[in-house]
Amino acid sequence: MRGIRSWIWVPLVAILFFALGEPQPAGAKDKWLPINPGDLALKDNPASPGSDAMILYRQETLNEAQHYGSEYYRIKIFTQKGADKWGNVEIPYLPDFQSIVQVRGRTIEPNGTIVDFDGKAYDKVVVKAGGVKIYEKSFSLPDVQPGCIIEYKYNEPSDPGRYLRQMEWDVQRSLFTREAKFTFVPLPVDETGEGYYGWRSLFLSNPERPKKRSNGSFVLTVHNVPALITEPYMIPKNMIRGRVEFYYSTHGNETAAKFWKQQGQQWDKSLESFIHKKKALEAVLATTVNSTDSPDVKLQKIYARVQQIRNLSFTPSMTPEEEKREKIVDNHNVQDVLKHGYGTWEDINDLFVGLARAAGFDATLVYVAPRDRTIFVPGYQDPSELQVNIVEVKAGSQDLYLDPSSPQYPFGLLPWYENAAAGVRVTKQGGETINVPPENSTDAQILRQMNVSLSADGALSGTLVVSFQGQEAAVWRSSDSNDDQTQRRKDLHGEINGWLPANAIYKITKLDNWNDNSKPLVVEGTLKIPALVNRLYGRLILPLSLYQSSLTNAFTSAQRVNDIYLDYPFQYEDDTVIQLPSGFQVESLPKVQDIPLGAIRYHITANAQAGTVHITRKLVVNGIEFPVKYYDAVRSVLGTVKAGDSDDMLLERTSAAQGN
Amino acid sequence: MTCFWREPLQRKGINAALVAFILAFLAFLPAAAAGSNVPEWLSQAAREPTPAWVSKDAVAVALYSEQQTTVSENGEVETLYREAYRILRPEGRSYGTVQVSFSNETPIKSLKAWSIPASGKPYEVGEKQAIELGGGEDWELYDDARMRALQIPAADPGSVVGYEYVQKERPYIAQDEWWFQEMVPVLHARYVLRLPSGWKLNPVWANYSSVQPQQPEPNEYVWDLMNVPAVPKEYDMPPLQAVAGRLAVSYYLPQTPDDPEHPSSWRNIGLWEARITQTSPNPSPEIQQKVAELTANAHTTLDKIEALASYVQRNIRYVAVETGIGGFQPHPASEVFTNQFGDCKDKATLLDAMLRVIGIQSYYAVAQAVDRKIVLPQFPSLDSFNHMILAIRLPNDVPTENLYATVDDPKLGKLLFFDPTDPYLTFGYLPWMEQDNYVLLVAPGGGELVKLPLLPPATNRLMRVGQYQLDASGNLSGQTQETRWGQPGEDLRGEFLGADPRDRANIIERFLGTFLDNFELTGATIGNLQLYDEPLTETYGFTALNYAKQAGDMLLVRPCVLGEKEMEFDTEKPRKYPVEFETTTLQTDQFDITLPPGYAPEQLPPPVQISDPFVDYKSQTKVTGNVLDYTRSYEVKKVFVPVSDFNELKKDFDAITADEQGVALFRPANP
Repeated sequence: MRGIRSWIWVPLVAILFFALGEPQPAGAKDKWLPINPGDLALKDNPASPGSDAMILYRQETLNEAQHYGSEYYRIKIFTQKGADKWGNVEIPYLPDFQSIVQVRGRTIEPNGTIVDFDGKAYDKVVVKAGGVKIYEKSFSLPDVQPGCIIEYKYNEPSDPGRYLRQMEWDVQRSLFTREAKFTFVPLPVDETGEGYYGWRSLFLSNPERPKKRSNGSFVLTVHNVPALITEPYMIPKNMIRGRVEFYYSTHGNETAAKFWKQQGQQWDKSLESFIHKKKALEAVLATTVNSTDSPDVKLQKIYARVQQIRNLSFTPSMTPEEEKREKIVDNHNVQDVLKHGYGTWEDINDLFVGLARAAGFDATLVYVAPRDRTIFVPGYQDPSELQVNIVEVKAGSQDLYLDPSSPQYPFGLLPWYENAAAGVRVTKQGGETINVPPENSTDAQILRQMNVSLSADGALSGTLVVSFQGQEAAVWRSSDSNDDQTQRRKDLHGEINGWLPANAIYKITKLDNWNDNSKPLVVEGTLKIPALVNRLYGRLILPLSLYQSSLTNAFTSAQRVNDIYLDYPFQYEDDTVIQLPSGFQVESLPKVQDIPLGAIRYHITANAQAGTVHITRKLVVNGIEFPVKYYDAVRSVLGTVKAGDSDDMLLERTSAAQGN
Repeated sequence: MTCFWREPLQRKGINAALVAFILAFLAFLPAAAAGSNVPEWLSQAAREPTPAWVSKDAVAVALYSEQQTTVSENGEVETLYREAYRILRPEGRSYGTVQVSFSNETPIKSLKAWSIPASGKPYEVGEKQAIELGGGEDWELYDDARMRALQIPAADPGSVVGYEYVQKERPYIAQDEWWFQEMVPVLHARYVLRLPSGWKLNPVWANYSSVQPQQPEPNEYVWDLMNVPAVPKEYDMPPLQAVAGRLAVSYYLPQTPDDPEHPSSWRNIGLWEARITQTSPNPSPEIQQKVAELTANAHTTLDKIEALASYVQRNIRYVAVETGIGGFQPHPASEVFTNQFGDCKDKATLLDAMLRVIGIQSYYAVAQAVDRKIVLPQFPSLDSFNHMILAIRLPNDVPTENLYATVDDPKLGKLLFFDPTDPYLTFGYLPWMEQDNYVLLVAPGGGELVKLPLLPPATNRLMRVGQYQLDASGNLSGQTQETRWGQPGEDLRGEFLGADPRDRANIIERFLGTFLDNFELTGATIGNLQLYDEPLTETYGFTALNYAKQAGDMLLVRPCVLGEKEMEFDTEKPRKYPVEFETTTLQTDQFDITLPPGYAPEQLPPPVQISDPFVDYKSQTKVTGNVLDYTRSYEVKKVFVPVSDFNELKKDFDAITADEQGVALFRPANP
């Protein structure tokens, strides 16, 4: 092992990517590759017409054995926006461990004239915190204009005492790449102190696999890599971004099944060690459950008990001074958790497993890759992908998946990012890969009950009660968990107001059940909508649904590149009663709209009775991923929903009233 | 776009992203040693109860805010800042984050912070617990400004947090500003100014009633303000800096006992700017050659000016590098020309140099590129400006009919103000934020404050014409043509050019999606996209399924097919500040819908006519033969609507919204 332990690099490199976005382009010396006249004449990217710019060539080298890296970029600029965006280069780096040297650049004008970069490259502070420094080398290339080619390169020597535990070729960028070459020379195995290193290729086509050379280096050449396109409701970019990741491992060359089995055994040992306090668990159990309780009730009581532990993972962050003052220390076992009355999310789930087992349940941990952050590829053999855990309990013939460490989630409901996620179940025999079952749209419902009176001048006024249920309630409780009632009301008001016509005035009068996660979150309020209704002489016209939907407005584009990806399945159920003004009657109601089958279902109907109109509407979206090949169908269905919502009902003045 | 941005309220601002960023780095910082020594000023402030008049919605209250500025004989300034907040609600936790901008010219001498929790012992943190962040703006390539940020422990509801820091500087202009009004109420704000013996001061109050200072010492001035209300956020209000109370002070050593003009007059500030910029615009041989090339085919002086302006505007890439006095001083024109990039000052400088080659004089005009009403005419200062444009002196024979940004200067004659930083601006126009706003003209005899014109509505024109057919199933199809001049053209041009070209259809689709439920874009063309001095044209076709709704045997058709003139209003609280429109504008729509055969009008939406001092609106729906014809015009005549007219404005927009949603009814002609 040399120098500083590699672990420090992992968060810092992560922060670099997180804070600064993708690193901008790099080599050395003034040797440039020859320019192809055809590239100078290019007016657009033939493989992806309409691009602002494209990477013609890119070369990235990292030689860990010799402690240097280098980058080389050649970019064709097509538009002014491309010139503005790619003419400036910003390279983040860690000045204590590496430097950016021999920065060279040039611009090749469309007529072949070459303008060398001879300006200044600036070193900008991004952050300095304690011993951590992140800088950015920035410079601007001269005379960048549409039609030109820019290229630049630089070297990145690094401190011989450091090395990267993880290294990535970010093959897919926000620009189309015509050709790129990557080289990685890892440390000799015996110098890592850890052993075997490996790689994985994500979201790249089959031919695009690194090759290992006889000298131990890895090389990859890719061609025509499409740009990563951002669209609404898409899978998080990091989950579809083409890349190759390298890593060092202590496990040597073994199968994924064996690796996870061993990892599972380690986790099991750790769990056993943490919960191995039988007396303490039994004491808590004695005051938590009754022997006469059914198994289901017992589990629920244990769940409620562990959720009473102060969950340090969900309280506002503390400064080091506060932690010191509060004497927050690590818990080493369940007895510590119970004694301190606080714990991290891991402590709380462990405690739940301990108590459940003490109550006679077959319970264990399942480590999963949260869907909003990462994916689990067993072959990668990287436990850090499994960033959270949940609890699996066998209850009769069914397996229950629970997460008591998420304080806003009631018994039986997992945070959405843990549903339909892949992971590893911990058993005494070792780890087993599993998939957590997906949830249903009934687990995330919004019920809206509107009861309004329509006046003869076209204004609506009355009440609107919204009930957020299941996932919908838990998401709100999570996002506003550290806020007060005023802010919660304000945020919920913003949400509800966003559904209503622009001139609607909604005032919340009551917010119920915020602190009881087993109940729906209920918002009651008064509603006034002036001038939504069209007035013609003797008639009033108003749309069937008074709600707008961000989902139905999200897919106006006829083109789509990425799959549609939703956080979780959901459904809306609306019940609207409109009291008609005196002297008016229904002249015409729209016909029923019904899409009864499929992953997206919709029904809207209106009935008139005794001076009122009763409208019921239901929209069910029962899926999270819709492949792009079904985009037109999804768009069409949502268009029908939107059209159905905006169908008009017609009211007319009664003949008796007209006589007045 | 801006170049020497000053953000006077930044110190007291709230930045949630910054808080998150700091928290992410806390693990790398050493914990402060135990124990604290809360200063008396903070202890005293913490004893103040929160008065009943503070709104229950307030996230925090500033118990005490102090600025002590001490000026030395040599012009050096040392300022002590103190702030004490009581956090009232969880959202007020961000007041526990201290952020102080600094640079090599404005170093921080000391920084300390404390918190007094509702229960338990106080905390103290200092520079060792601070992190340093890069300063400047995202769009700057480099800025030597940095920021020191500190997270105060236990910044929770009920706690009192406080901090003090001392910062040194030697200002280019002998001035100081005290921004005492914040987005939370301030119970006690104090400003202390200590001047060297014999120095004078000239205080100017903005957005607040003036208060006389106490003078405990002959050259020490102390202002105390109690119970300063918070500035509420309102839709379309002027910016915070334009409405927040402040005291601006110029100080100087009179040359003679009865010297009438202190050094910081507009004239003198202009002279100072002229001094530091005087060598920048010299044209190099390369520039001269380029000018010859660019003007070779230009027949008139105006053509030549326009050719040069267009070149600098669109070929010189905007790149900002700010170091030291570089915030005020441009790079030499030759350097800008070689690099083909620069910031606003650099672009103005290169254009100045190029104009000199053709014998045209021009002058720097220091501008405010973000907001109106920040520059105080009665307080000559550079601090309220953040941008630079150019005033081009037009020869008498140059026609100015279409040069709306022309001002007749009593000394210099016709001056065309031109902003070469705005790439989409039509020649002869001004960006909206520079209209009805001040610039400091750096004229040969010194600085001169000039108010730039507000362009008339017809210069910011949007004309939309649609021809559609409605079939028997209620589907609408047809084409719309839009022609845009001035700001509406610039806005859409910027949106199209700022998007990936592949996404331009999406821009049109998003627009249509606002008004149509189930539609397909059947084709679109954009004209004059990069002919910036020509009106932008846009033609698009679409088919919208079930546009007309069936109600019994009647057909319901919305005549106003596209477009909305929207404004947001908060009706729950009384309005405190004027409403600000970006520009004046004149917009017209004409939509003709050919109806399916066999329908006759049953009822049509009534016409609407609004006319008041700020908005005119007129619409009409009629049926001629089988064509439903809708026309409307919308004109914004003034950019500021006073609070007294707020209700009238709201009523106007309610009527406009109702008109846009109006429905025409048709019955079968021969049932």
